[in-house]
Amino acid sequence: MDASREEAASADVAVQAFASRSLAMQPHHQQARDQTVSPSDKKKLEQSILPSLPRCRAKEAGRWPPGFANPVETGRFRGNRSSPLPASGRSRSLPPLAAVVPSPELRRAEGGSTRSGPRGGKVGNRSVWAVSRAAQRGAEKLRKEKAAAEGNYPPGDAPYDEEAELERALHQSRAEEEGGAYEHGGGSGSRGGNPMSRLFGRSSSVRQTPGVVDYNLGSARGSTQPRIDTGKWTQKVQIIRSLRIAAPKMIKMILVMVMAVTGVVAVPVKVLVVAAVAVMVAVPVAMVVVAGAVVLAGVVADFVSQPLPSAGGRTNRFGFVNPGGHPILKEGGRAVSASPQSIEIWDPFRRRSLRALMLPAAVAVESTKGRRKRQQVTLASASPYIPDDVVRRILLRLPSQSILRCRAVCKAWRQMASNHRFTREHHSLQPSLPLVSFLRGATSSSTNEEVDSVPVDCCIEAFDLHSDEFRPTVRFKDTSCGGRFDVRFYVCNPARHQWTHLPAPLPSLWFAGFHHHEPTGEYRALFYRDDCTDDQWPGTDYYILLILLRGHSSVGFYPRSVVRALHGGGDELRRLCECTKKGHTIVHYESSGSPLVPPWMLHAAFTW
Amino acid sequence: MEVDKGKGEAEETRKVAEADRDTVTLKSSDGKLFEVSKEAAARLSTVLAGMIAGGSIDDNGTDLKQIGSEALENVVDYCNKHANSIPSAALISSSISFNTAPFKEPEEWERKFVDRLSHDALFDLVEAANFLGMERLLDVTCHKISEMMKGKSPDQIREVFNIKNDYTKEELEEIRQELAWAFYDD
Repeated sequence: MDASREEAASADVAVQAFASRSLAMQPHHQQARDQTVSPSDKKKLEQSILPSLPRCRAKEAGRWPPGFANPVETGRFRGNRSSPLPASGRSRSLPPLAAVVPSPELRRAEGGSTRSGPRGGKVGNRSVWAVSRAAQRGAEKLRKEKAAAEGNYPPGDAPYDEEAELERALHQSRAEEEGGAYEHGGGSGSRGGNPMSRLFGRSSSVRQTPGVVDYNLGSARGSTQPRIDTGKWTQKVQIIRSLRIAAPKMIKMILVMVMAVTGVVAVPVKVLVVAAVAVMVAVPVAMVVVAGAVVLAGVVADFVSQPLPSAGGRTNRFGFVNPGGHPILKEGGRAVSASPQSIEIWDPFRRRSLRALMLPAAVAVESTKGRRKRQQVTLASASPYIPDDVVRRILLRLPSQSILRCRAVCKAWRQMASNHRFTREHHSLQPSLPLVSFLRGATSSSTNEEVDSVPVDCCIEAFDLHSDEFRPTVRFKDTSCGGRFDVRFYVCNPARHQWTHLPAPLPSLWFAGFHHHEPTGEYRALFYRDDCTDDQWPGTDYYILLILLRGHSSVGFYPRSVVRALHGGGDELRRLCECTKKGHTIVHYESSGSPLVPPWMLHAAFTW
Repeated sequence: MEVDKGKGEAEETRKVAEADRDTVTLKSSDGKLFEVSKEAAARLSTVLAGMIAGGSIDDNGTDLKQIGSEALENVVDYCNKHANSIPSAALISSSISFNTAPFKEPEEWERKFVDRLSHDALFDLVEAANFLGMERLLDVTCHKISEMMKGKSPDQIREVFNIKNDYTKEELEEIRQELAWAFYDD
């Protein structure tokens, strides 16, 4: 204990020195931190991030999207409960200023050996070491990036701004992540107290950022039912006491009276009393019996006056459907059966049949007086002649272009054809086309030499065997200039033959492909960046671009299968930041571990 | 089997009638009587199958008040042709596949069957098929209608379907701009 305390205390000084040095070195970093401190920015950040993390931010696990297993919780990161950051040696997070850095480790980290280091040791030592290394790396990375941005990239260019913006958001996210730790746990360097309690303080204290309270209504102060009091407490006690005293007296009195009645009063009086009691009981009973008889008679009369439907022998007394076979119902004095999609029920009380349509979406009960009336009942009656489900059938058979044109026919059709379910069903009913990829020049019928030449402007085309034509899917356009790497990606809507620029989350990213996100039914673009040249963080970063159909600010997550694949391979995946830009939410993921190979498509799913 | 007392259809229907005397008499909204083989009716129409199984078939003509005589004639015609065109073994498998693959292309005779129909007759037939729960006939007719709709302008579609345009001019213009390529890019 004493040893670790000493170590921590001595490290405090080192930390302050380190922190001040790194701050002086990294004004950018300081700026990012300042941003988090200012409440308006914090609010903004919460607005952009919080919707994705409903209610779970109170815990540390809240940093992880639902699809993730939190490594801290699952025990992936062993030990070191005092730090919310993974203690793995490859943590890329920026350190809190509270990082406790033993001087030998600091020297080692400065020396550039970032990957190797003592992994074991005491708890305090480990956390200290991991945090310090992360701090060092963060500082290094920042410096490098800044230098790269200032040196290589022409200032004021759009891609540079993009990167800067993302980086800033990244810092913000990191800082925000640790900001909570500062305020509530962690023990900053300036804070006094027991170093041990400082070390373990974060795990013992409930770590909550101020914004969390709103999202944790359920657990914090549950709404308690206000007590309902009818009177003063003393009054109640008095009443109970008086009852306790009074009750035996009353029982005694009643016993005396009964004895008097039985023993003293003469027999005829007794008979009279019994008779009176009998009459008093008999009158209400008789009334009840009469009333019941009247009601029963009414019901029976109803049945007698209304002949039961003359349907086939299987209808039961109430004209309901026979359970075993097909429904047999009555309409127009003659039994009519219904299709499996609809059931008719004869209602003897209202003296008419009801038709219950078993629609997939909803169950509608309506009268079957005729189709004109039925159509009036239906809400979105599209055509006066054809039922809506038939119109739907017809529209489903149309090619997409015609469907879009049909949206202009009338409002009901537009509603029908714009429905998400309809479009998905239409998509699923389209014949699956065997697609073969070709890499061809996009501008003209260029040959392979042109493809190889710089600048690159080529597209991946698919050959549609049915219509015997090429269908472009993805287009690459190299707009690199002045040694700057910038490839722009375009996707093609095959129905419209229109190209759309795919906004890359960052420059110098490669487009891996699209994947289908099952829960939302969306297609998402996956980018990757191979960082093999980077000594600091060798590995591959993956970026998911979500092009959202609905709304502007929903956030999606990495598909579970990918996460599982990554975790299965012994690699960790961390969500670094996310930012919303022009309606697209960009989620930045970091994978650590061995550098991942780019995924490839197998059976319409990503495979690593 | 005889198809409508007035209109003795083809010889092949008689052959079917000899093989299977069990027929169902259907009565249209205007009182005309049609006969169709019980087996074909039960297989092709879920509603008729339910009626047959429930024993609610009237020997004097089961009332189908929703269906006019012309549409019912086409329905019965279709049932007979269907019974004659495909051997029964293939029918069972195909009737199963109707459920799994609703977009099976219509066969040649089905194509011809719907091609000869006028607009009104086709739409009446769709209604009748929908009412009787005849999945396959519904598919064939819907396919025909969707083919008719291909390449038509919204105005033409409105005319065919007798739909009132409930858009305002501004809304229509907005949709047109939104989907400009769908209107002018043929």
